[in-house]
Order: sequence, then C-alpha cells, then structure tokens
Amino acid sequence: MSRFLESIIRFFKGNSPAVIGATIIGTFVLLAVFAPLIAPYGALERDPIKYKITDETLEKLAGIEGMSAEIEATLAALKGHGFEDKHEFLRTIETQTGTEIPLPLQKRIAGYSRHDPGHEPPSRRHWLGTTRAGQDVLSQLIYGARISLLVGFGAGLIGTVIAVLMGVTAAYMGGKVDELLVFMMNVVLVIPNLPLILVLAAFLGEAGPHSIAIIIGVTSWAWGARVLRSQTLSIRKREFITAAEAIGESKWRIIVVEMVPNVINLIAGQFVGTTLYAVLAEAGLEFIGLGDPSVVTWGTMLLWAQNNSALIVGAWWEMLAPAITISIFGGGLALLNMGMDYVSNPQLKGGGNMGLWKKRYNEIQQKRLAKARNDKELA
Amino acid sequence: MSLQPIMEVRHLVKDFPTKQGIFTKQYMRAVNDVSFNLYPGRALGIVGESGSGKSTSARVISLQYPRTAGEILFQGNDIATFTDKASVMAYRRKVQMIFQDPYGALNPVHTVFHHIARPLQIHKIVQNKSELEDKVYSVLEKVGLIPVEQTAKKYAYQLSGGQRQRVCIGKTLALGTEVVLADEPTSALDVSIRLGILNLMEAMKEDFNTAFLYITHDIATARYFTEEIAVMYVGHMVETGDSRDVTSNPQHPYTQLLLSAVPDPHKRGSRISLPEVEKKEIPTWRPESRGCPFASRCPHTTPQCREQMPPLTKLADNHFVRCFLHGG
Repeated sequence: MSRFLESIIRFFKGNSPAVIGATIIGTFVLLAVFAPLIAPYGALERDPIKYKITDETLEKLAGIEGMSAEIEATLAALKGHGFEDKHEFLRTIETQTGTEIPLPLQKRIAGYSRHDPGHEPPSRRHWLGTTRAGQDVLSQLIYGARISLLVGFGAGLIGTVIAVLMGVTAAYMGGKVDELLVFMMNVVLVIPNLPLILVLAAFLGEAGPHSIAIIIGVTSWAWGARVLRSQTLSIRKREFITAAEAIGESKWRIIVVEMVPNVINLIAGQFVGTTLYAVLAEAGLEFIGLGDPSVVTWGTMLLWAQNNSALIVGAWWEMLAPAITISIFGGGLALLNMGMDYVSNPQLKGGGNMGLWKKRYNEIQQKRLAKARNDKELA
Repeated sequence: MSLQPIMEVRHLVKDFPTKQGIFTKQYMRAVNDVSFNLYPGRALGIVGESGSGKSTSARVISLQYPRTAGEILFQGNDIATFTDKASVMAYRRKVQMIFQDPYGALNPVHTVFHHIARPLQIHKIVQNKSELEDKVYSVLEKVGLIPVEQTAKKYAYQLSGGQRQRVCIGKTLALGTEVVLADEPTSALDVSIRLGILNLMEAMKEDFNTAFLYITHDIATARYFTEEIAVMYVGHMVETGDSRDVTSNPQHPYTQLLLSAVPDPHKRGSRISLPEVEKKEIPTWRPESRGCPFASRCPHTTPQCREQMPPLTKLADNHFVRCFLHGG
C-alpha cells in the first residue's frame, strides 16, 4: 500500500499538467457525487416566483381605473419583491395599503406583474442565471455532471476493456488470430465514428444515457487496440514471456498477469483519452437531439439552450455555462493524459530538466568568472 | 561411459522458412544433423558463433519450436509423443531453460517472490501459502540471494545482472529441474560475476545431479564448466569430445580458429597460427546446400570440401571431428 501511495506521489511530483488535470477531474467527480448537497436547486426545479412588481408594471398601472395614490405607493414600495402565490401577493398589497382593492384592479395588478421566470441573468439568487424555463443553470450543471461523467467514464471503461482485450490478445496470439483481430480493428477504424454513432442512436430512438455510453464504448476502441497491440508485440518478444511459457503458465495468465501490467500506463492513457472522446461525443449526440431530452446532462443543456434561442435573446449564460464546463472538463482530462505521457516518455518533461541544466551551466560560468578574476588579481 | 543418458538428441534438423511465395518455399536450415547426449550430473557445452544453431537446438528441446526431423528422447521417450497437457507439463517441469539476458528474462512488474513462486504454484509443488513462502525462501537461500525476505520483495530493476541470473537459476531449482538448458547464461554478465554463476551451476550439477546443456560462444567458460564440448558451425557439429581434448588438442580448423581467439595469459606468443584467410560471409545453410559448411572460410579447403559433407571421424575414445583432413 505504501508503495502504491509512493508511486502516486512520484507521479504527481513536478508534473504540473497531471496535478492541474487531476484537480479539475477530482472537483467534477466530487460535484457529481455530492450533487444533491451542493446544488442550490433541483435540476428541473423552476424558479417559484410568479409575481413581481417591476418598473414596467408600475408604468402600465399608472392612472388606470380604480388606482389610488396609496395603492401606487405600496406597489412602488414592494417593487422587486417576488411572490409565489397570487392570493398571498394581493393580500400583502391590501394589508400594506390598508384598503380593499376592487376586483378588476386586482386582476390588472396580478396580470401586469406576472413574472416570467425564464432567462434571468446571473444574480445572487442564481449564480449562473436561469434557463428559459426558470431552472437554475448552476444546479443543472452540477446534476448534469452526474450523467455526463457516468457516460464518459462508462464509455471509457467499455472502450478500454475492449481495446485491451483485442490489442493484447492479438499481439500475444499472433498468426491467424492476430490477422483476424487486426482486420476487425481496421474495419472499426475506417468506419467514420460519429456518423455510425448517429445511425445507432437514431435507430434506438431517443437513446438514454446508458445506451449512449454503450454505443460510444463499442465504437471507440479501435485506435487504442492498435496502439496496445504494437506495444505488447515488443513485450511479446521479451524473454520473460518465453520463460513464463516454459514453466507452463496458461495463455490467459500470461496475457493478464505478465503482459498487461507492463502496459498499464498506456491503458490508463487510453482510458482517459476514450473518456474525453465519450464526453464530447455524448454532448454532441444530445445537442443534435438524439439523446433523451428529459434527462439533464451537459449535452441536453446545450440542446435546450439552442432550442430556446438563448444566444439570440441575449441569454448567453444558458449556452456558455455548459459549453465552458465541457471545455474545462475536457481540458482537465487532456492535461491528465499529458501528465501520463510525461511519465512514460520523460523526454517530454524537458522544461524542468532544462531548468536544472541552466542552473548547472550558470554555476559553472560563475566559477569560471571567479577563477578568471582571481587569476587577474594574482597577475 | 556407463551412465544412462537422460536426454538423447539424434540427427536433429530444424528448418525455418525464409521466403514464402505462392509456389515456392525457401528454407534456412538452422540445425542440421545434430546428435548429442546429456547425462545427469554432467554438462555438455555447445560452442559456436552467432547463428550456428546453438540456441535453436535448445529451443527445439524446450518445445518452443517444433523440429523438422530427428529424434529427441527424454528418459527414453520421444518428446513428440508428449501431446496431452499433463505430459507436456511434466516435461516442462523437468526440462528448463536459462536465458542469456537476465534483464529480459524477469518481468519488470513482478517481484522476485512472484518469479520463484509461480513455477511452484503451476506445478502444484506446494500445498498452501506458508509452505510456498518457506520453499521460496529456501530456494533463494540456495542460490545465494540473502537476506531472503528482503530479496523476495525486490523487483528485477533493483537487482544486479548476476542476482537476476541467480533468480532465473532459482526458478529451475524450485521446480527440481533435471535438465537445464543454459543459453549463454553468463555472456551478459560482468566477468567478475560470471564465476559466481558458473560455480552456482557447478554446485547444482553436483548436489542435485542436474544435467546441463551449456550454450556459449566463450570456449573458456565452457572448458571451466563442462565435461564435454560440442563445437557448432552453421548448424553442424564440427567437433565433439571431452572438454580437455577439444580445447587442448583441437582438430577441426574451425575449433582451432575459435581457440586462437581466446587470449591465454600462460601461453603468450604461442597462439595457434592460422594463415590469413579472406573474410567471407558466413553461409546460410539451406536443405539443398552441399559440401562442408566451413569450406568458404577454411584455409585447407580442397575441391572435395565444396562437393561433399565430410563424415564424422572418430579420433579418440570420445573425440569426433567432421573434416576431410582427418580420414574421411
């Protein structure tokens, strides 16, 4: 266990992309897991405020039949307060004014101060504003992370498992098995991925998150399988595999116990890469309406934002919030992947090493200068 | 020789396909008509340069490659008859290979314990976990990897080359192997460490009566470790005999050439002198090739050498040579 912790610490030490990436991903995972505790509102909960007096309301009500100065003063005083219930709203006005309001005026006040909850800009109540339907964008993002992450990691897992099985088996077995598996990889590789996903998703109707995860998982393993195959081919030739065969290890044990642990860094990279692809593909699928629109995910948020012409009516928050969230999450995964590359290929980690060389070089130069000065003084 | 051989190799031939057309198939003959016996408690050294078929012979014996022709008898039974899993496993337990590169022969992701424990588990030599631990530790002690408990936890990269080779030898010890095919076990090691490994194998030979096939290109270590030496060239055995005979009285021109390449501090200036020969490519032997394989490099080549394969000639009680210079 301490070895495991040690290797984790060694992985993150001086590996800033990995640290940043892991922080981002970790934050999202925590948000998703504790969504009900963190999110200020429910995912589909509408803003309950139905009545609210604004300047516009006051303008429209000014000088109409039955209006008195007292009522007008009360309305002005109540400006900006929200009410969930019509009767409560009207009773508050009556009690504050101290007189009864005639029925037609009541109707007019209620009508003119009716509050459309949609598209509220970011405020203290709604940090990221609301959607057209009056749902809190921040809460939707947090709840949406649950499904989006689940689909992403699920599809990543499916894709990685298939890639490992196909790639490592092909490399180990060789011969006809290898040829067949490589053929399958090539077929899946040349089939354009997104159109295939579109066709499958359309065929399944409004695909739920599970079907989307499976569809993405089973269409995104080919690239990883090829990479893993080529890497395991070189391990296949190593003598410890021959030695394991010579002592009579079974084929499956050789693949799972002897070979796979040697490419674990590649598998991890493959998992992260597939997850990233899956999150983006899921958002894409749902954005074009092939997902289940009643489920709150980052993709359906974009779909609704587009359907509600959020950008055209100036509700940029409804569109930008999920878009930026997806970008940050994708960036986090990409950084994590980059950090893994640093470990498997330390040459990429040039920055830090170059700093060390520079330091050494400066030290040497300074010594040289000091020596020259010394010599001059002696002369 | 009254001893009963544990392993008999008779006229072994191994071809590899080199070019595969639709109608034609070309083969390379890596091992041609090779025969030798292995005896318990004795070592046979196979000496030769790269590509002489030394390793291929060992790999055929250890079931890594199928043979093309010939017989391999293990305790009197042809190994081709071992087709069911149980007999193959039993054979594998008794015949093990030690590899040239101790850096490649151990899986970098597993500990020493795993490497010694797996053979014991696969062949069900131990019954439970505590017995397994005891056995692994005793094996590590036997191969001199002490302190055993610390060593068992180590990974291959934490060991030196000599220690890794000791782990590999420990695997064969754990199995109670009767025939060890040692494929250049010392050539990747520092000279200072070689002797330790050779002495360890020597001890195995004496204490456990193990038969060794010691493959090397270093005739000096072969003389030190083995009782018999077979010199191979391009898949053929050109000279065999007791180690002392072959190294002190080499008869085949190739053996003489090999020995002249060994620096000997005691015999300064008395190197076996060979006329300068033109550097020639080592021929690729094909099933249809004729003549003596060494003819292209030999200083004594006659027209006969290019036409006919010289027969094996008996020079002494246990000293054979394949050359027209000696009878034939």
